[in-house]
Amino acid sequence: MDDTRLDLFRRHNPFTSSSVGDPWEATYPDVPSINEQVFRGLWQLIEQKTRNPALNCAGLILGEVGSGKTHLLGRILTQSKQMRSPCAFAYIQPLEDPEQTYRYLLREVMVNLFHPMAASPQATQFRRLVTKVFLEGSPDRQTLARLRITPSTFAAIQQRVMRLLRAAYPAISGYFVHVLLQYAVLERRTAAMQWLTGSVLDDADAALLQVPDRTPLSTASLEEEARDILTSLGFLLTRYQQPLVVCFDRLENLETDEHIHALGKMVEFLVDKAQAMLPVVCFRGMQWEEKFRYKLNQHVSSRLETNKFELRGCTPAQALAIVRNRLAAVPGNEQTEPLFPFDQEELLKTFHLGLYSPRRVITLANQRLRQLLDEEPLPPVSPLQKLQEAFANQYQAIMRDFERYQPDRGRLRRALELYVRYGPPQCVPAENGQEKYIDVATTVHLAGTTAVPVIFLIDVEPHHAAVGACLARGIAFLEEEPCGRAVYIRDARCPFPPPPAWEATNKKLQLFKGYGGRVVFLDSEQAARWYALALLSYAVREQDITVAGPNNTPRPITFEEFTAVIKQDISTQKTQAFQEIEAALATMEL
Amino acid sequence: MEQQHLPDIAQDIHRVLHKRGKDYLTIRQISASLSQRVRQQLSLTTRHSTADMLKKLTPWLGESLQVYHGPTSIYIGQKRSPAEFILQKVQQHPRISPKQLGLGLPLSKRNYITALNDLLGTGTVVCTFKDNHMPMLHLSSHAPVQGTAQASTEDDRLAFHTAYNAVGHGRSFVRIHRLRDALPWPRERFDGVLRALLADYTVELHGGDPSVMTEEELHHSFTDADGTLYIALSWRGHR
Repeated sequence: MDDTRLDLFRRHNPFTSSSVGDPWEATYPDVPSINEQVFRGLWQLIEQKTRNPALNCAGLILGEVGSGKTHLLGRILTQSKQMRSPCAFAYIQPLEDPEQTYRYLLREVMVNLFHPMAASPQATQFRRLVTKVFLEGSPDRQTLARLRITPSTFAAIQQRVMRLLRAAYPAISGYFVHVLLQYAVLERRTAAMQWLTGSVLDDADAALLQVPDRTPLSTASLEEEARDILTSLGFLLTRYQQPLVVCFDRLENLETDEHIHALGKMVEFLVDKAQAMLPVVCFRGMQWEEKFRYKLNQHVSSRLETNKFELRGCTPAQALAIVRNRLAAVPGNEQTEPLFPFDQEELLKTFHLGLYSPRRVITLANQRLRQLLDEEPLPPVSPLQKLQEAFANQYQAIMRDFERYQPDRGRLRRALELYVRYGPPQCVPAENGQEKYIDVATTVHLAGTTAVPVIFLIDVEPHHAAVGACLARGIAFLEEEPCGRAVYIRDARCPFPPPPAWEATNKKLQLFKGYGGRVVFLDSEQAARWYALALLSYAVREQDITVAGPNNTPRPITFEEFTAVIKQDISTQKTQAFQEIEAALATMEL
Repeated sequence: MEQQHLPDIAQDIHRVLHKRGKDYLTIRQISASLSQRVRQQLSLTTRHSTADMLKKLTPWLGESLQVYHGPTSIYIGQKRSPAEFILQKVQQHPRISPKQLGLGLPLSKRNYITALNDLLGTGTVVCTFKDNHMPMLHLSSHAPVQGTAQASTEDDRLAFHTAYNAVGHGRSFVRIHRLRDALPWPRERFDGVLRALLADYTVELHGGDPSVMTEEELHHSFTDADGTLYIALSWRGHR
């Protein structure tokens, strides 16, 4: 075979990855005929929801590993972008903290709505919605091109919009509409986005937006407010006929009954309470049938099963189409034979043996391409290498799109637990160690000492009172346990202004340090590493990461291999945060 | 609550049949070989009469098992037509006498004679005589070999589908090791039928999470020619 023609595929092998990972970043070509019926069924559901936003319905997608669940969600997003009246789209990964079920749902929905749809960061789904609101509120319903907003027209629009919406939807939240309009004002946009995602604003931002302080609100009240905002958002989506498709993926990571129950609550709310929102839930087929359908409230599982879609394997022609499309997407590939360097007959013989999942098709194509490219088979990639690669990719994806990965206490906690349990500290977190401010409680055994209690407090609260309360909990612990260790961890995107601002809180911070407490501020690089570790654990549980097994066939990386990598590699790359934590655990002999 | 025990009991009976390499066993044989847990669930002891045992077991047989009233005993076995039982036995014991054949089957005399006459009528089974005038049965030599093979293949596919429905209880993702347990076939036969079903896209195989399965369950799953492990399958029907 012509070696120079093969060089292109040596430089760019289009079959090295078979995992979509995230529909927002879908880069792989689509073969529309694969699971076409499923897609059509889902799209009909979306169309019905567009026509009748109050329709109580949900979608359930079942497919085993590599069957294309996430890819299908990407197809919904792509199709929507091509429509004149697109639907809105949200992709939601598993929640970590069942106590914040509705706040998590609200935050993830909003983060998706704020996500850029095109090259311009300004072109977001939320902006599209806000534009419609302004057009409706502007005098004589101007066109977008003629819409000019000045302070005086803004006030008029605000008044008109409030009147129109409250007349049409008496239950709509006035504060929601008020903040939504503030989004259009550049200097208030960040605060508006924070409020809309359910954050507790600091005093200055709350004053800027003229909204009530959320600090004194209880957990139940904050949850209630999140529901109100989502419901109000549903009214707007109804008005502008833009149903929101809320896709829940990677649900194998819901480990406890509380997590599963929280998913049920979200689905139930989206189906029964919020208008114009269509939950679409993806599960592995066997896990759904053997576990999740029995763990969810029957009211929820029956709603989901009403519109159940099972993904199917590829016919030989579809398998060939995957190969052809991936080859065509190789930059610089101008081969006249669309399947070059493969032999069509040979591929067909392989694909004729059964209904292969898209991932299996890609794996088989990759194996054959490697044979064509090299006389000697490539040395197998070890689980360590593969996980290093996956971690690096995840980290880079987060860094590229950091706004989408909002400060998340639950994800940080997951990363911390993985590190504490499987990294150098090798501590077992206490089963009942979590409480309001304490994320992980454990004990360390230091040479020559008895067991020493340790707590980790993760904080992403923007309001000084909440931060102060968290620090106060740390101080109380250190007072009770003079030999104990306490580590306060904060995503540095949540500001902690130095004195004279936050005077009382800064005093508490000093006091905490004075008692021997350690403080770790995660800069963007470190925070991204922690979020990458948490998301990588989802991917491993999802069996999305594979290596060559016996006979060079792919096998999923096991969770044990993942934990071994945490021990050997990820946590031994001594970032400042890990150094601080290890120092806190090891060198505070009193 | 009790409904949850149903698959356990049916599965345990499948396990007993599979272990003994039989399609059917007497009620007493079944009862004696059930796992202790199932016997406890049903409050079964050896002191119970056959009628009592039958009464306790019958509600839990599901769709793949059936009670058969033979000439001398009552049996529980895989759901089969009388013709299937006869063909299988004649294939295994060519030249068997009709009387011997009847005694070894879990069929009443009336059902047996009716089914045998039908098979003789269609020529699938033929009857010849020994020198001492004793009748003996064997599969038709006039019937084309392919036809017999086809009938057998079709029977196997039907049995596979029946087991899929019975084990799956309406599920779409059915574990292969459970199907193997339900079908008391040698490994080669099971794999052969499965490959044939794969080849015409009647079934689709799925991977899954092997980390939550026992060694035995993994062993009873399916590994294809290049070593890929499959754990479950879905019946897709002919395309």
